[in-house]
Amino acid sequence: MTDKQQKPSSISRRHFIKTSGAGVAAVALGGLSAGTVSAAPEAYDSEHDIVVCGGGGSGLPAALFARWLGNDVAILEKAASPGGTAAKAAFWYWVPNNKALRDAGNTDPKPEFMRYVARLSRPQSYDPSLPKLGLSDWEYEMCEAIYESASPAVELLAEKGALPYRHVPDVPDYWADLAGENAPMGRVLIPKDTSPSMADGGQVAIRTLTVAARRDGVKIQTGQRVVSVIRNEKGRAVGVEVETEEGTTRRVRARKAVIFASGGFTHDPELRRNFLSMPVYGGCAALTNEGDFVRISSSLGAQLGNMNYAWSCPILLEKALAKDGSMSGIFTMTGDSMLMVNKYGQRVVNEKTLYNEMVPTFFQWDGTRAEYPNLVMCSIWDQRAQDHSASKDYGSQIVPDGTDNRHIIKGETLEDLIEGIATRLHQYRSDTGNLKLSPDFLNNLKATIHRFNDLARNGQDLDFQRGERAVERMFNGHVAPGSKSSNPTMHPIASEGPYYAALITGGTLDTKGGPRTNTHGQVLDYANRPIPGLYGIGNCVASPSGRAYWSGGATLGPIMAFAYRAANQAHAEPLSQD
Amino acid sequence: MRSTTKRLVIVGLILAGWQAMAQGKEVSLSEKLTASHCGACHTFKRDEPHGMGPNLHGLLDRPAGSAPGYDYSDSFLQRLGGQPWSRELLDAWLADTQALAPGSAMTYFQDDPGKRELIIQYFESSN
Repeated sequence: MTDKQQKPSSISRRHFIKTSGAGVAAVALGGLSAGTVSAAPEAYDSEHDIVVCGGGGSGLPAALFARWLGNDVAILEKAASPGGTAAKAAFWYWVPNNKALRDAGNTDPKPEFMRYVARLSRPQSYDPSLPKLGLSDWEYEMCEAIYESASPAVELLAEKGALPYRHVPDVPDYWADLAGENAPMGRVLIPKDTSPSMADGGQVAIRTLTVAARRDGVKIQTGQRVVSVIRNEKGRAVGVEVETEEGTTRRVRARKAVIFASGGFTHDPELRRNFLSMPVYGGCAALTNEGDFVRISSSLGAQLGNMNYAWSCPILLEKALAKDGSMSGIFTMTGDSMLMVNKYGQRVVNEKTLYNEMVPTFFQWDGTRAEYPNLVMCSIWDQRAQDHSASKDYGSQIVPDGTDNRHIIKGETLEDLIEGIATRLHQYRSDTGNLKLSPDFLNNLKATIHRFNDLARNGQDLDFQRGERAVERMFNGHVAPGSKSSNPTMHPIASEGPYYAALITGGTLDTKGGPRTNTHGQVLDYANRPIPGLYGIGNCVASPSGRAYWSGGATLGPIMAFAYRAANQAHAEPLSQD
Repeated sequence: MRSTTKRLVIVGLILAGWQAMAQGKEVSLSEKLTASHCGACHTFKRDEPHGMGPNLHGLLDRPAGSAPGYDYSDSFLQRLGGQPWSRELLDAWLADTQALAPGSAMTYFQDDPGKRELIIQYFESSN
């Protein structure tokens, strides 16, 4: 079906482009979403069986699953190209009991999986003797759905050539040590053609998924911002209203279902301010992740869930403030002769703590001083780390010469370095509550380095246990060859300059709260009833993971499961007559 | 092969549609479109660092795959490396990157020739 000619009167109604403050991504498509429900009977500009709102890591698989069942499927993508946040990701995907794992002769029984996710998602109520392990009924059922459907979903994607994968048999879960000797290995898959560093999987996955979608007849339309859901008189979702990047308005009919896959609210300061448990500085989600579905669904009576948590990651303060669309989270805080200090020049965290787990440290509240002493921390390293630990991958704060190193502060001495840090912090004072280094920063830093060096020489971090967990060593990044240290994550910091620093704070890969769905991706109202015809998957809806980041790929693996389940359920919907 | 006349008509239609974006008169439509389509991954000014994609300053006429310090994919270099970025090559690239260089890192397609033309115009005007 072809789109009708646009009505001229709609052209000048909207100011579609808003200009962001600074940085390379000068223009983001957007404006405030109206989120209203439109009454039906106007004509539609196009019609499909299933309309998927968003063409990223959840929308592309959902559209493909629906298409392979024989549906006419359209993706309406707000940005100018598909991919969303997933295009920037390493695109590990965590798939319990996956086929490759089984084929290698290993097992991944469901009870152990459920205990693992329950222990991490709701540690405050976890009890392995309870039938639901301390999870709510909803959380338990959603986690069961992940276990049951992630593997068939990814097998179908691979079989159809949309997402061939490579098994990574030796990657442990982030808390494999909690599961003891029976901890399964090999739940992580990556796109087949990912480079050896395994950092560019997102580009590969979005390419193969997009090529397959276009090959198989999914209609991907870009520059299409969905602003509201059209419902019929019975309350069923029967279409969406769209603002195009030209500023026109379209109405798109969905004969069976509307599936939202539009990402979280990382780039909406108001939603962050009002819902997140931490005052993060945005993050590295796609710039189009502005909480559209939270707003749109509010007028539909959708029940919200898990709004307080996010997939979290340290980020470079300056790139976050600039809304740099290319920014990555810092998955690997690289460097052995590297430490992190707060505004007082003190170490307050194990620098190799997993990314999601480090973020709360930035927002620890000091109730005596009434301040966030760690709001912006300085990662400080020496020439050794610069020479041997610089990397372009996984958001490393230490980057090679010739790459984007605008965030790096350099000083020939510690005194020079501190002057540079203070100057840089002064530039950002309006965004940090006028955060300054304390007057005793230099003396404290010298003492901190002295202490750190003693610990590094002994290979044991008695203060923060740096490098004691296997997963921390996995994320250590490169270090100078030939080190004989028993702890490869630590090395004494040189007594001579030059020294380097970067300003680091906490951010999100994306948020993980939104409308709550059932295990088939159907959006629920406050009576736990599905809103007919309305589905949601991915970071735009509530995750059952609570605060947890179960493992590398714990975002995308579960997303595949729910994309698969939502597509199957949507396929079974009767055709609407409206 | 499209005729120039047809191309101009298409551009005219698109220009009408983009009036809503021309609120800031000092910023051209082609610049705004280019920023929204390319700016999340690319930088445009001389000496700006690469983003997800390479810096695009002076793109037209420079050989494909020649931005210093950027790691191009093998697929891109094999298919396009060394070819000068003519407006025709850029048009074909923007129409479907994966059709022109399958396996290259950038996934982008733009079916609308009028929008491609506006993006090409930006690079012509800023070259």
